[in-house]
Amino acid sequence: MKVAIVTGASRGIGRACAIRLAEDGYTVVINYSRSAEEADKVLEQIKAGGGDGMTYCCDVSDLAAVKQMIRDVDKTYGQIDLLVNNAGIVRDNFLLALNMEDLDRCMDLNVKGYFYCAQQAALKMFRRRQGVIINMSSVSGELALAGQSVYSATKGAVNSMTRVLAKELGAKGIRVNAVAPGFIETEMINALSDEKKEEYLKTVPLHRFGKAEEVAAVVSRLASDEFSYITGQVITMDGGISL
Amino acid sequence: MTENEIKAKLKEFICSTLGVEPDVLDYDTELFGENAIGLDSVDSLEIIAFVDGEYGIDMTGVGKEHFFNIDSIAAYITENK
Ligand SMILES: NC(=O)c1ccc[n+]([C@@H]2O[C@H](COP(=O)([O-])OP(=O)(O)OC[C@H]3O[C@@H](n4cnc5c(N)ncnc54)[C@H](OP(=O)(O)O)[C@@H]3O)[C@@H](O)[C@H]2O)c1
Repeated sequence: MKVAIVTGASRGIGRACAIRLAEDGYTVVINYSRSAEEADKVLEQIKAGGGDGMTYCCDVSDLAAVKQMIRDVDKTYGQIDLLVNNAGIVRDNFLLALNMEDLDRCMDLNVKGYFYCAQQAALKMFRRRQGVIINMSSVSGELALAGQSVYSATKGAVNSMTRVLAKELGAKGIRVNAVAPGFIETEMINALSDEKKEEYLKTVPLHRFGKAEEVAAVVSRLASDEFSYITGQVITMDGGISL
Repeated sequence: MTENEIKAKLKEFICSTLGVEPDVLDYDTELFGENAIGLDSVDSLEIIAFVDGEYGIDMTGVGKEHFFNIDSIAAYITENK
């Protein structure tokens, strides 16, 4: 049995990752912070497919709560093989309109939250000299989209931390990689106006938005032993936007 | 487990896993730094993981002073049990 924790797995990309990893044979911890009902549905779907796991309510921007979650998961299952750091938010605004509460919130969740979970999960992985951490980044970590300075900065930070942690943890058998999706059909994208969607689509050479399942497929492969020599990489999957 | 038993366990771990000779390591021997016995920051991670696994005590982010020697690590464990 292998155990995976997916943060922010009650919907969107995290949900697809949780379901895919369960299909791969992982026992999956579906983390969420508010959407208990949606998280329960993800677990139901996993169980209906013959998989196993649990839901876990924890705001990953709260270090004490993260410590408790990792301790509880380790106690329940005895090991943590994979962490998918995925819970993240977008609060787009132009610099002069930037609301500092939004800035704090994005930093707290998209950056600090990733560090908290990585630190606590690595602590458990260290003992067994094996483990995989996958950070959900974004093409915005490299690409400059006007209005996304905060989001881009958080994802740039995720890319940097991925590389450095891969170096620090490599000798302990822990691989760290990131996945940088482009526009993926989730609530984040659905919330856009049709006009905005069309404008974005024009920038995508494949001329469609990606699917959460396509991101989950990359996460699944990156986590697998087949990809065991890949560490410190940011895998861009964006339909070609960044070309 | 008494504090002395914890110290003995820590010494055993540091010698067996981090390759320190038992005869150069007393409970008050400085572990890290210039005058110390040559452990580095990666070794401190090993100690953090060992203390977490063995005693369920979280030393992530804890100040350097607690890693000064076996005495100080054992004191931290006892205080936070
Ligand atoms: N969608 C895209 O086009 C796209 C593109 C590139 C990268 N990404 C990245 O992919 C990740 C997921 O995006 P998404 O579009 O799937 O997002 P989403 O649909 O908005 O879902 C976000 C998930 O995170 C959870 N969450 C929010 N705050 C949390 C907190 N403090 N603690 C724990 N969980 C929390 C939410 O659950 P609750 O409701 O329970 O809080 C939800 O399950 C993010 O890191 C995002 O930056 C997305």
